[in-house]
Amino acid sequence: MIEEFYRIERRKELGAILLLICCAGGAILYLSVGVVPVGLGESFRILLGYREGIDPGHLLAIEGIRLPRLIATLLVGAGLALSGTAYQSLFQNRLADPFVTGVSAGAVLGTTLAILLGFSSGFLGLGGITLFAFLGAMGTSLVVFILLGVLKRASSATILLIGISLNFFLSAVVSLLLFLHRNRIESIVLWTMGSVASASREKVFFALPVFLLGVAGIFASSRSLDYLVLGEDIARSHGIRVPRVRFRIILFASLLTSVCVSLSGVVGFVGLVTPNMARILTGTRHRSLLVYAALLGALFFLGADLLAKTLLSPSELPVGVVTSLLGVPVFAGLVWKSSRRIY
Amino acid sequence: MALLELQDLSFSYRNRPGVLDRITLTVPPVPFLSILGPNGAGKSTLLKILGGILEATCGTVAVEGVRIEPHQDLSTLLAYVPQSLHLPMEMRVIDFVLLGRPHAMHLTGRVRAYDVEKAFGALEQVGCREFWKENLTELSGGEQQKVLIAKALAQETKVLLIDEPVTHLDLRNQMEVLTLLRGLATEEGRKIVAVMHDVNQAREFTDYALFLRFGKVGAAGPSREVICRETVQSVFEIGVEERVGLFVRSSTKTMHPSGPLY
Repeated sequence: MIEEFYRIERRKELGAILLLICCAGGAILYLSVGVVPVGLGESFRILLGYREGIDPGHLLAIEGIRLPRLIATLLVGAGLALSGTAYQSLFQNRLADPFVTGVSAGAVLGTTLAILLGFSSGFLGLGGITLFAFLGAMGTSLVVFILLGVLKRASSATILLIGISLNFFLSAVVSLLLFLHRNRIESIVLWTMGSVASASREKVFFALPVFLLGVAGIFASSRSLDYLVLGEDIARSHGIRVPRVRFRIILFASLLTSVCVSLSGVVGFVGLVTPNMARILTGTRHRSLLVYAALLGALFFLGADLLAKTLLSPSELPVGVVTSLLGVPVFAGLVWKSSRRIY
Repeated sequence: MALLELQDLSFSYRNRPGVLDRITLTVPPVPFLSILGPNGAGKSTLLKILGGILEATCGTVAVEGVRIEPHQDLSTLLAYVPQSLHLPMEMRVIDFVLLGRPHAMHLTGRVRAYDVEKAFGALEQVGCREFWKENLTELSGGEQQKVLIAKALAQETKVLLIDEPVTHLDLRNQMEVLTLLRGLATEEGRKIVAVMHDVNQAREFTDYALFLRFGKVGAAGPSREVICRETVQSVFEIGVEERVGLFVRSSTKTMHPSGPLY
């Protein structure tokens, strides 16, 4: 029995390595595909820093456009998956997603304001939309934190209700603004469909520190998440200070979600489904679950964006549309396969 | 060393004052203590205060001489077993039991071999080793209860706090779980504190009984002495006409050692 236990553990480790290899392979493919096709070997050499004998046009396409977009794609996929996993465990609900605290509606409101007020120049090379989306998302989180501070003993259900109410409220404000400025509806609605096409070096430099902070915070909470899944009483009996830990997890998950939303707009499904896929593949121990979720999220979003930019080439589909179209059958297949055994 | 020392212990929920009302009590170092009383008497609340899950409104609590402070990691002193587990997602039995070993995990996510053996050992002890890779939520009520106890055993604490271990189980599983707990108390020297409903089982299996009534101590003493018709009548407010103590006389001296009280 114990031998079988270790056999399954080894299989999970191999699975994580395999996912990592797939991500690396996917990344090279992603760099090669586009309006100007670049050979896989050449992409690989550029990625490793070789410059000699490389077509300058290819170099520009990859370094100037595709590499920032690749990094943005990986960050968004991994970030949404990690934040979704944390929320699902925290709220003991497999249907929770990264936008459960109303962050997405806040980001949409921020973007709407940026577009309507004409703040497109931005700050430090960042687009005004990116900045406003981030501020809108973080502003919404701040409201959640203030309410959590006021309601000291808030249960998970109360927090969910606060998030849902905020979502509805902010969406209504956005709808009102859209109604009043009907001529600008298109650009706002397109943004809400999600896209990483506008990723730039500046955006990635802005996003990376926030992303790393969020990831570190979530991984540092993995032991607490292990116990929070079992409910507050058991978590408390293991010395976990539930309100404080919950606050910390929501803070880091909000940071991650906000930075993802500011990079890509609202991308549904990744943050809901990849954590569930990871649970099916590796179980509930968060140290490995979070690694699986991050890798699966990154890989899934990479694949989705690859399809988004190639299916109707040279024009592009919104990646949020592809994630849902692609995600549902993939997930259905996984659920079907897992109905007989758990990981 | 006393098993429990409660000094002026009170607890109130925001909208429900006096759930526990200035309890002062010392429970001698018995292996198996049952906490009994009507619904809403404060039994589970007391158990949660002992486990550091709830914070007393005022007063102090000590378990095995260790004073229970809020937000303290008590997982090396005592293990808490809830009444039931509402798991929203699938979890393998072994992963659940491994959570009783708080330091089982390396930073890399690997599990230490020593802790894996302890977890399998705990499952063996409750007779559920073969279920190790089953989904916890799909086990029967009795098996689930045993796995909950296995996690507490894997914690290797001296004290086990168990909330209504047999309430939802059929007769056979009730006997199995209670016999298991009795064995742990007698043979392994563990100290067990269990909230129970069945006074007959409490008298049969436990050494000491603490009756709570409206947040106060209704009666406390060795189970065979204190669990008698008079106590049950007064604590549960059951009238004399009702069939209390059908087979038991009113005096503890003449009470049948294991006869039912109702």
